[in-house]
Amino acid sequence: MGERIFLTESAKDWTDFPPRREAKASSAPRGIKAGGSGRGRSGRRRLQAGALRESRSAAGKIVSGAGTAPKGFTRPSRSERGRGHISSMRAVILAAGEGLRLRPFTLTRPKVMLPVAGRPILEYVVEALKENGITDIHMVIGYQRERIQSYFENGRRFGVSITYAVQPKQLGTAHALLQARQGGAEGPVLVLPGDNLVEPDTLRALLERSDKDANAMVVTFSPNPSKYGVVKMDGGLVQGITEKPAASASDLINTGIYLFSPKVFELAEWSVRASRFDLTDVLQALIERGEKIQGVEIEGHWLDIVYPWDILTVNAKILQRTAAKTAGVIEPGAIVEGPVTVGKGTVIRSGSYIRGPTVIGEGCDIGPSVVVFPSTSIGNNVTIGPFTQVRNSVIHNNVSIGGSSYVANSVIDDGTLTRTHFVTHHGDRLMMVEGDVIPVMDLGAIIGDSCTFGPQCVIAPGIVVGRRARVEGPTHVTRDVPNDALVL
Amino acid sequence: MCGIIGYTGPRQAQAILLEGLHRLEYRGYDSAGLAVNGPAGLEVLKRAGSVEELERALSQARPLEGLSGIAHTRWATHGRPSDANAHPFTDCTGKIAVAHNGIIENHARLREALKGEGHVFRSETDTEVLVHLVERAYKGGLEDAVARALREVEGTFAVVVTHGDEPGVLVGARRENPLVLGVGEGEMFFASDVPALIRHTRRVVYLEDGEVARITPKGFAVSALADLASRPRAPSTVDWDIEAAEKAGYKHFMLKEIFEQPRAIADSLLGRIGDAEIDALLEGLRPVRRVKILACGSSAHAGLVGRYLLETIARVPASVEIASEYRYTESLPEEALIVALTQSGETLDTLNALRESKRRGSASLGITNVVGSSVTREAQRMIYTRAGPEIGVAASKTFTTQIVALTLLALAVGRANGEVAPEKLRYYQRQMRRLPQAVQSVLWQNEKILEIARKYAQVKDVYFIGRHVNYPSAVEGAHKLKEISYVHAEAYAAGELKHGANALLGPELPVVAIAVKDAVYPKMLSNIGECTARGSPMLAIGTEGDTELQKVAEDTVLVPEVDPMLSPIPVTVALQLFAYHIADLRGCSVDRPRNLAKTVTVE
Repeated sequence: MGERIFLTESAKDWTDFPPRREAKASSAPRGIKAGGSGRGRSGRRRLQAGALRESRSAAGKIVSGAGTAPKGFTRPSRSERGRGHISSMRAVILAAGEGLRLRPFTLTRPKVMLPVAGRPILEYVVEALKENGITDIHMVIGYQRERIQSYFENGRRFGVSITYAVQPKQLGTAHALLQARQGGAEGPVLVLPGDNLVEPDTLRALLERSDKDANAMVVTFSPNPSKYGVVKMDGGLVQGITEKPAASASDLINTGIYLFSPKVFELAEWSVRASRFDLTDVLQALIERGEKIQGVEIEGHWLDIVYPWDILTVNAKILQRTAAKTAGVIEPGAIVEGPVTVGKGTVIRSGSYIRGPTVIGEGCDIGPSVVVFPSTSIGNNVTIGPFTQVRNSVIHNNVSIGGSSYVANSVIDDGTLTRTHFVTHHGDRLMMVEGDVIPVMDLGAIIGDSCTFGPQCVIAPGIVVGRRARVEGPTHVTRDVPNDALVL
Repeated sequence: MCGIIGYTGPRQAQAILLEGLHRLEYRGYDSAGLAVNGPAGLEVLKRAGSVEELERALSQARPLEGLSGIAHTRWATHGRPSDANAHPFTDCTGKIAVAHNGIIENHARLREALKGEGHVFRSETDTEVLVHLVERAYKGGLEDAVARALREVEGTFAVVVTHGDEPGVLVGARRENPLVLGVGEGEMFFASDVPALIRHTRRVVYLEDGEVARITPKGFAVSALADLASRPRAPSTVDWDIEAAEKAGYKHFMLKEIFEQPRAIADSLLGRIGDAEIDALLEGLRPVRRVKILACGSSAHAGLVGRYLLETIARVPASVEIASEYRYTESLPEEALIVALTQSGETLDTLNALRESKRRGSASLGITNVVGSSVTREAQRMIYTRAGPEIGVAASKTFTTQIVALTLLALAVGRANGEVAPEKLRYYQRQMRRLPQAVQSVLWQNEKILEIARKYAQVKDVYFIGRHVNYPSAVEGAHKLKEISYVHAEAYAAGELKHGANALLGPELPVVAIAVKDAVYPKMLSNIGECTARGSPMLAIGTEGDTELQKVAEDTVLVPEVDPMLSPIPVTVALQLFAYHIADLRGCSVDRPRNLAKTVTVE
């Protein structure tokens, strides 16, 4: 796939296109309300304090807080999915972004490839599309795109067909969408971000919208709408979108999931020519021209990862639906309890105790006498030495943790090696990321890829260690460690 | 070398045959042709050039109608690429068409005899004798005629034949060159290998040497070539997901395969790195006291690394023999364990050398990437490299995974003979687990290597130098550059330069030196000095963190530290990217270099 930017030669100014249409009176469409808990959705912007957002029901009550376990992604049965699933519909996933606030993890992968419960975020998006019968997928990729291409290839492994378009410079969402334009392709197109976990039910609600002629977008309630693109609705139709308004008239915000008619490509092109690079600008233009945009309301919890510690909360959520499944070897004397997935080629050695929900990848060597507590995700080719405890943490691929260690509430990236007596303290810390200051509670360590830790390293709460750092033991690490640093 | 495809069933053959040819193109691509058996009899169209040119020629004529047919893509051995020399060939009656992969050794004698009987030859190829032999033997039954014709032939073949009087019937036979049957629903296929079939069916029958098969839309029957005795066979199911072997956004298959290496290496270790699994590799073989590795091309270079691994880790004498030369060595009783290294499992030189070694009494172990290939039937034990299909003609992931397999072998031999104590085994297991991450780190430097390649893109000649276990890395690096960018390159053991090659050093001759931090590092620094002192531009591959190296070499690529014996793996990945970018900058056909084919089934 080449880099493609479609800008036509015409000198028309974008305000001339298309001619305004009379606004038609429309019946109030069914507002789609999700009852009960268990419907996650994507979020386009982040909240300040933590990733677990609370949603409101129509009556304005807080539906659930941190204590309630959502049902997770329930798969609708065939009959439940109903009509309106055009299998010829295309989906465009915007996956070109970097995810600056998730460094050091996004130094070596695009945000969409961040693993949650053992799979990249983007895989959950692809799965949600597939569950709704959409298998024709175009991904707009850019930053670190080989990571995406190597994992998904042509999509067959995931039951879909994936083609790629490269967005050479990440200018904005409308610009991204243009890269996926295909001459002559007809039919509506579903556009959604690749970096928010979306549930099949959310897409189903969008696809089942009442007015098939209108464009549509998914909106949701937020207790803090002024941080986002706030959506003003009237009679089920979107009347306007305001980015981060000082005072917001509504508490509905834009999730970034849209269903457009193919006309959107032309409009996106004009928009980009006028240096307005975001899809919200295109939406505004559509509204001003009298095009109908239906707002499909969704309730439930959000699953957006904005900062590195959000990985832990979202990981815990997704792990709720882990099944007990072993493809590896559990030695006699090792106990595996609860929903634990163990990948093929992995050995859990005697004396180990693994409690679910927990996911362990392929080719790992755990133990002997290792204890793993929920909610923990361990990647592939991970070695954990004897007498180590891992609790509520996310360990990526190729990591080696030495014996007699304690890893809790922490995230450790690919290929990092620790020797014995590696301890992560967890507690409260005021985190500073890209100019934001956020208090986080009970956080362990955030550790980048390819680091090495000598024996007896103790990491203070909330410490961020960059990539390829070398920490000699014994050390008490009390300050963040930059990339490539050497700590003596 | 060539690729063959045959189809019979309810659908129009032309489209299916063309698609199959595209999938077989990596076997040969200097000419192509097809023959379709339809209501108007046998129709043939063939052209020199790529499969695309054949397609263009077909689109300009009216489509060939017929529900069965054969097609061929050629890698020339006898007779230059031309329309007349392309397969399939027809006989004097124009009713029989033949496509062939292999070499007919007695073709000259047969041609004379047939000419004497009045047959007219239209090409310079050895294959053409086959179609006239079938013509001569034909008495109404195609399978019978083919079997009788082939009994007169000396040489190797995978051949597929069709007769205008028997529409829907295809006959294929095999001697030493691969031929696979694909079993579909109400349709049947012949193909040189599985990727051509995988889109249509996963049920296959691998023909064995000396067998002939007759297929119709209803099914198939396999018999012995010698006497047509029936050989009942049940289809097996193929596991490979060949669909995944599409480029998925990468510019070339080879680049995709280079980037797949972390996963390929991890897959190679999966379930095989444990103590018991390593021991099991040598099950059933007598104690190993020496090892001879037989291989060709990049596999031979991997073999060279394997030699160092076996001698250092397992402390057994080991040597590498170029397979095509092995049969000319003195035929003494073979006491060594023979390790046949062949990515495809079909490399004829390697297979023949393996057979020769068995004649001399050796025990044998094969290392291949293709389950079900010929080598799996010849060797006593197998180690699979599990890299997935490699479509690019130049080896990338199969090379590094071969080294992984050889390391496992060295550990197994060392365990068996007591040289590898438990602690040493544990050490190597840990080091091997670090390989996927180490390779990934090298891949992250892709942009940097591209920038370096820009500087070298127009060079005419390059030296690659290394010592000890990275001498083979240098050999492979030079080989890769030659293969895909057509730039001449030569590898030297660094200590050898001063014995003659120094004479060529100068600003016109850049040098790529491998100088990781191991025991020979100080000597490599001196060698680098010798080259730069004479004005050669220098690219050094070194270990992460080596600031000294950056002072003495104009350009450096630093790879993560792994055990020196395993360092060829990350080093080679850097050299693969270097060769790839130079080839790409020069506009070369990276996946299908000129004059090369992926699997060499000729001698």
